[in-house]
Order: sequence, then structure tokens, then C-alpha cells
Amino acid sequence: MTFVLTMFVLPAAIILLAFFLVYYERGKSG
Amino acid sequence: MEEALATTVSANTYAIGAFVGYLLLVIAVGVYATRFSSTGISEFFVGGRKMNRFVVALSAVVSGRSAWLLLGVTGMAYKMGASAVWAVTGYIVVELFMFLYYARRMRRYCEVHDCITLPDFYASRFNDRDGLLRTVLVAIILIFMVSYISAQFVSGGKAFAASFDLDPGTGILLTASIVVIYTVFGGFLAVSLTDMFQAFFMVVALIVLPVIAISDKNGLNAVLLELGRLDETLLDPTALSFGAAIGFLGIGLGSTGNPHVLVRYISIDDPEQLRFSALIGTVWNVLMAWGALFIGLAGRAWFPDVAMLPNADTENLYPVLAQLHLHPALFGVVVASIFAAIMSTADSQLLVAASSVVRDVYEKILRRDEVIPQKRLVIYSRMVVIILVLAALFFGWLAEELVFWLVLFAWAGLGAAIGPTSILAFYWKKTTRAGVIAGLVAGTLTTLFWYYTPALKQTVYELVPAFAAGLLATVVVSLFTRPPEDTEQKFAAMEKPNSPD
Repeated sequence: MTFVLTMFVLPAAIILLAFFLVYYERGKSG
Repeated sequence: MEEALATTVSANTYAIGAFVGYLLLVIAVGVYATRFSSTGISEFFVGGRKMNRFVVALSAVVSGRSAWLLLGVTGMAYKMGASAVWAVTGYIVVELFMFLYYARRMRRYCEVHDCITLPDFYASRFNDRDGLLRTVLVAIILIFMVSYISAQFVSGGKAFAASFDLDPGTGILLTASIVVIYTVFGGFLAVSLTDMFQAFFMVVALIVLPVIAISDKNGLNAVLLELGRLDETLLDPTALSFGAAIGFLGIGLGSTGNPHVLVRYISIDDPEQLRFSALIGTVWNVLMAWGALFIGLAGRAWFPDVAMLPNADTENLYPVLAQLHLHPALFGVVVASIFAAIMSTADSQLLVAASSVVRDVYEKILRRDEVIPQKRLVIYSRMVVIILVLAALFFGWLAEELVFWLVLFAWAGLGAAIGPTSILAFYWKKTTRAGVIAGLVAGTLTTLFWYYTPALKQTVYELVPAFAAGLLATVVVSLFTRPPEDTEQKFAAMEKPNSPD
């Protein structure tokens, strides 16, 4: 389980975090 | 089958063809960029701040990833299994935040105050009239950068020797010659464009190889079963001490202080486009890092005993696995990717070191009251690039041990010195020049002290405590000294009008 979390979920989560932050920053600066 | 596994790496005509094609490409880019880079010193060292967001993203990412990712991380995953994941997670997250926040402040400030080097930024931010702060920074940057360049050439030479059955000395000269050709002619534009191509080589090799190596072993389940049979802890990402995990994650702190990565941020045409670069850079970082991790895991399933690798060295896993599983032409791409990793780091470090000599030492310290024609500065810059390459070769030849000793601390030393001081310079208005000098010295010295104290070294990677020491020293000394009077104006230059961030 921890293997799946770190080898598959973690990279996907980092990319999703990048998308979220970029979207959030875009919204903030209008 | 096992006889075939315990082999050495050797290239054939396809591999040599793919590799030569790659070399011709990078040299052609150098020639293409010559005219643009000859315009002025800003064009030569930061591409006139006209770089495209995609180029900046890839260039920043691959400049920070030397052969450490291809040979070191693959070997680490081979030895440690899934727990090597923490060695890549830290820097990817740190670089995402840097692209989004730190980089934008830096780029905006550097345009307003015409900074083209990191010492330029510090000198301007802290009104460094006597040049003391600039001198301290230039000394730190030059010592670490020249050692870094020298070590990259030595790595390139060894990779040449292993791949093409050449003498390592010839390999070193070949690596240096290729880098010097496109850097001297094409400057920053050539370095950034070649970095972009090199990023493609690296990502293709790092994705294709694990996919094929795992499918040749009958799929991921079979690989995982084999790893579990060898050693259960290979599949356990938590099978490392707390200190080791913090140390691995702490590698990311180095990204905040390595000038060959930071200068990429200054070069983008529009600071708002760094959001897009953040996205591309993060996706690229993730693909390359997890590709390297899966290569290590697949490699362990294929070569359960390290004695099956050439010289029993885990750093040979990557080319050996590629030779075993890929078509010779694709193997050529893998060999090219090793050089891509080495050259994309060496060329960026070379330009940073040259900019410190020409811009910081010559233009801003020795001739600070004179106006020097831009074309002349570009000529000097090209000469300095050649001199620095010769110095790096000579340094590597004369004192290889010293070079590798310095490189041991380069990532950590620069990260601990420049990282905390630059973050505070961007985000804390009470930061002072004296505080920054104290932080630079404390960060560098703590790195060395921690490394050489065995009881401390065993606990955690030296960058983590050294970064904290740099941060603490900067804050404490700043609290007892006066910040520059124009700090508010300086901060206004970092922020987007009507939208402080």
C-alpha cells in the first residue's frame, strides 16, 4: 500500500498540486 | 542469460550514429545563437531576458539535474528500493514553489534594477557601494562553480571512456571542447536551447527504458514479486531512518541557492509566464525522477547481485540496462542522455562563472566608474569562457581530489549560503547587508563543519542544519543592524503593481 502511495499517488499528487497552485495564482492576479 | 548480464557497456555503429547526431545538433544550435548573443552582455549571459516560458522551464530543470539523476538516483533506487523516492520529492516540490513565487519576484526586480547576475541582485538590493558583499559572493560562486565544471568534465570523460572505449583523458577533452564550442559562440541562448533538447533526450530515455525493462520482465507485478523475494524492504518507502528521510527531502533546499539554476528565472521574457514554466518544469521533474526510480527497481530485478554490474558499481546500472533492453539506436539516445545531463549542467555553470568574472569583477568592481562598450564586454566574456574551461581542465588535472572534495559541498554549500539569504532578501524587509554576509559565511562554514564531524554527519545531510544556520545568522545579525533606507522601493520593484505576492 505505501509502495503504491509513494510510487504512483505521490507523483500524481505533486502534478495536481502544481495545477492547483497555478490555477489559484491565476485567479488571484486576475 | 546471466553471462550476458555481467557485461561491460559498449557502443556500436547505431549508438555512435545517434550520439554524433546529438552532438551535431547542439553545435548547430550554438552557431544559430551566435548573432543574438553578440549584441551585448545581457544577451550573452541572460538571453536579453527574452527567453520563452517553455525553454526557461526545461532549462531550469535540467540545469539542476546533472548525471546525479541518471546514474546516482538509479543506483540509489537499485540499492535502497522505494525509499529512494524521498531523494527526488524534496527538490521537485521546492522548485515548484520557486517557479511560482521566488522566481517572479527575482525576475521583476532584476528588470527594474538591470541585474544580470546573482551578485548584481545582492549588490543592488543592499546598496553594496564598497563591493564587499559582491566580492564575498563572487568568491563563493567561483570556487564552487569551477570545481563543479571540472567535475562535470571528468564525469563526461569517464562516460566517454565507458561508452566508446576511449582513453578518459581524451573523453574529458572531447566533453570540454563540445561545451566550449556552443557556449562561446551562442552564449545563454545556445545554452538554454541545447538544455531544451537535452531535456527531451533525458525524458525519453528515462521513460522508455523502465517501461521496456519492466515489460521484458513480464510486467510490474513480476518485478515487484522478484524484489519482495530478494528483500521485503525494497518495496517499503519508509525503510529508512527519520534523519535520512529529512536529509533526502532537504536536498531540495539546494535548489534555492545554486546560481546556475536561479539565473534561468531572470531570463524569461514575461515574469507572469513563470506560472506556465512551473507547470511544465514540475511535470518534467516528476517524469524524469520517477523514471529514474523505476529504472533502479527494474534493474534490481534484472541484476539481483551488484557483482553482475560492471565494476560492481550501481552507477553503471543505467547504461547496462539500456544496452540489454533497447535497440542500439535507442541505446545511443541513452548514452546521449548521460552527456545531455552532464553538458546541460556544465554549460550553465560555465556561464554563471564567466558572468561573475566579467560582470561582477571586471565591470562592477575593477572598472565601476567607466562605461565599457557592450561588444567589447561580449568579446571579454567569450575569452573568459575559454579561460575558465582551461582553468577547470587544469584544476581537474592538477588536483582531481581537491575538485571532488569541493564538489561534495557544492550543492549543499551554495544552497546553505545563497538559499536562506536570498529568500530573506526577497521576503523580509528587515534583512541587512551585514546579516546577509553573516548568513553566507555561516551557511558555508556549517556545511563543512557538519560534514567533518562524524557524530553529526550520521544524523542528517549537512545542507539541512547549514541552511538553518544561514537563516538564523542572517536574521540575528539583521536584527542588530539597519536595513537599507530604500527597502520599500526595492520591495515595490519585486511586486506586481496592485497585486503584492
